[in-house]
Amino acid sequence: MSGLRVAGVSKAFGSTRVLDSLDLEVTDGITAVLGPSGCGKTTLLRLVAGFLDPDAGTIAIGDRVVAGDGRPVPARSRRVGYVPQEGALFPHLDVTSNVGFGLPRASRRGARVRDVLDLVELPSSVAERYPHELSGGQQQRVALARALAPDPSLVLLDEPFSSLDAGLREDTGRAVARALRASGATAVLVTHDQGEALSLADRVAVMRAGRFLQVSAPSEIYLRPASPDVAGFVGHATLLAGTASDGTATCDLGRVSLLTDVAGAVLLAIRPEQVSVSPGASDGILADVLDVSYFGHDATLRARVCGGETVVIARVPAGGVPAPGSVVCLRVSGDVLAFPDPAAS
Amino acid sequence: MLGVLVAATSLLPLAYVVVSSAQLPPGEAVDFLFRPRVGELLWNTVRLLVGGVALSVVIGVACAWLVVRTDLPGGNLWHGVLAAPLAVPAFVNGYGWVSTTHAVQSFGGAVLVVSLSYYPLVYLPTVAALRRLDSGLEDVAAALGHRQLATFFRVVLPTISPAVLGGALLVGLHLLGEYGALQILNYPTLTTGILAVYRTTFNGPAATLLALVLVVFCLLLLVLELLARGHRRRARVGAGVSRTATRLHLGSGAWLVVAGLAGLSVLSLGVPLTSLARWLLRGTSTTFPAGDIGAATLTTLGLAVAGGVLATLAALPVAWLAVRHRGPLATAVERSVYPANALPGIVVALALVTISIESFPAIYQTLPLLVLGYCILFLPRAVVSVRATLELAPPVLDDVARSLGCTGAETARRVTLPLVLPGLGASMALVSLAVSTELTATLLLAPTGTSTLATEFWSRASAVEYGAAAPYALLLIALSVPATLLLSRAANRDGLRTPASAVLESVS
Repeated sequence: MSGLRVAGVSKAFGSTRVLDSLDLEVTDGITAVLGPSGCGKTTLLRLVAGFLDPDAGTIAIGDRVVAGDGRPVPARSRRVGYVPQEGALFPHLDVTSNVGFGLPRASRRGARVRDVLDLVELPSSVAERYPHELSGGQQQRVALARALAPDPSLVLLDEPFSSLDAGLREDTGRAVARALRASGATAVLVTHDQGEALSLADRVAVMRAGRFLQVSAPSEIYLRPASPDVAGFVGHATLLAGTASDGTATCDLGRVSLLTDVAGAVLLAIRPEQVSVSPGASDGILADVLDVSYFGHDATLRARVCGGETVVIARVPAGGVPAPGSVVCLRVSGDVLAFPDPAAS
Repeated sequence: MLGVLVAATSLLPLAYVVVSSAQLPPGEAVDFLFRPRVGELLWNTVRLLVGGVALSVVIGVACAWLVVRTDLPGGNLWHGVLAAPLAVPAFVNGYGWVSTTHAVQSFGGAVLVVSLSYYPLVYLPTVAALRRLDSGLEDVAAALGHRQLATFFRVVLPTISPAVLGGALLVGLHLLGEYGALQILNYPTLTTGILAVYRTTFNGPAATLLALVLVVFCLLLLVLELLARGHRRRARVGAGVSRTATRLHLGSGAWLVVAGLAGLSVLSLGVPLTSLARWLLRGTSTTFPAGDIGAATLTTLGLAVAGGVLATLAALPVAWLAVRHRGPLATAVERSVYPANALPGIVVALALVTISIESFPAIYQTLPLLVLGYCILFLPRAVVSVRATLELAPPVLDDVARSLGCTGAETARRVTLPLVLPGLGASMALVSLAVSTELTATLLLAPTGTSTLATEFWSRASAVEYGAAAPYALLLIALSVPATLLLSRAANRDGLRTPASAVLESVS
């Protein structure tokens, strides 16, 4: 079987504990490890690739334990494809030699190289070029082709799109995901960009300070976050304290209906798109508009509830964007996520 | 471990000067240092330093600005001409002038000749800095209502000042260590004084004391440069920026500027080269000692290659530590190599002579000691260029190679070596070329009977056999041309880092 099993893995650098008894099971498809920079996600990747050895716990790739059980298997024998940030193509080799680097000598310039270049949707005209003659997106695709060429059972991608500009990032991301799916390899993609994680991966593992907060499908992560932390990080929800009973809760935005059945002191996670904004209406909570970010397809605004400290983020359609400084009326529509308030218990 | 050994070796001369001076009875030392003769040497050294550095900076910065930022007729041709004096060793330049007119055997003459030899050390880093400078800064200044001249003094000069200061420091250190040119110009300084004392008393405390004074001067210069640089940050623009600045239109003044530059190159290149050509014709019409020249050339090449290889090999562990194992120890090792950069050849040579006589008599007056001397002298140069080379092979490439199934040895053969070999070769060449024209340390350390191009030239030139010296001078210039080309090309190019450009950057 292909896949990756990480069990109870810990790693510390000096006195800094980077990974804290981490568990992760990946069977197939693309799994994104999503977290802010410094949360330990790159360390996890380097442990799996074999560039580092864990202090505790075991790592298994397929059926083989590669670390934590006797001598760790060296990186060169793990059959793991590795795509680092910015590609890291060998600057002295052309595209063909880069892609063929991990193949046996006889097949380094053969059909396999052409096949994987096809797989990552690169024209054969780039085969003779050198890395400095390629665009950033092309370099990234060649780096993936190089990782896929020896037919690894597992491919690791370390923030592969962070050096690309926004337009290119989306195209390259989709092409890379297509190639990974077509190759049938299991992939672990490390990223700090939630859009990237949610759109490309089959499963998302949200990581914070060396631990996983939640590992689920993208829609599950977004719609049913396991904790207020995940809700705040994925989807920029505003967290408000409130009191719940009988499926509704009262908070600074009035009475809202709840998605989950809790009672007592709660933290409500209200997403920007759940807050509707109407200028001059009388039905709702009055708030001062602090600032507006206009994106074209829509806009987000920050508003402070009149007479209070609560600041709410709301998304409004491009047509009716209120001016900063004006007073608007806020209403929460739809059911809201609620978590038992950790501060209250 | 190797790195620590290399660092300790390169600190040896400095330690020697300090320790052996400290062992002298203080009264005796003070008596010696307050002799009128020593006072004269000090005064001569200081005014040469001030005059030579000032003149080099004025020439260097003005030329750099003219070449990079104006529509000078002839354009890049001038860059080659202005960098070319670097290929004429200072003592050959001195010989060219003295054999033309004895008027240069004075303070003014000495300042003129050494400045003509050393201004490229300011010119080249300044050109490189001006090319790197983001022209956006100037556009902003112009948009804020500054005239071109005001922009130069308020924006451009402060931004390139680290490069200019670095160049000035280098000129100062070269002036302090210069022996050949000043001896032939009959202008006594601390360095020529040390050699004179050494010749008469052989390794007495007097030579050591003068060496200590010289070292103090060098360290003072380093401190002065650090203070002048202050906390100013170097303006570094991203590698991708390649905006070309609008060049100043010289208009009708262009021909005046061209005439000035032509005059400068007549002084810096014309005079020594014509004089050389004249002596070459006159000298070789009588006898042409082909055998002697051949032997000296072979010895020089052998020493140059040995010095280049040894210095580059010694630089490898130091640079590797600095690039791959950053930490307090690595930094300490790397830093401890650099003081040797400020030590004049004469101090290094004197230290090695004494240490070998006192502790290792077997290697005194041997070629290995001479090569060790070269190695210490030029190690800083080798370290900066090897370091720039190793940075071409970042660790992530090793990671990728290992994940693709390579063992350590395979990674070295297929990734690391192909990436660093060209750079190591260039670094070796840079050191070798410097070794081949080195005079001062060679005079002290070369075993009796060993003749190099520089020592053969020197023995003839100082015996006023100008004609016989000419062929050696020609070969010395020929040996200096490749390094000059490397450095002047590195200064003129923006973008790719090469070992030569790293040597230039280490100046700024």
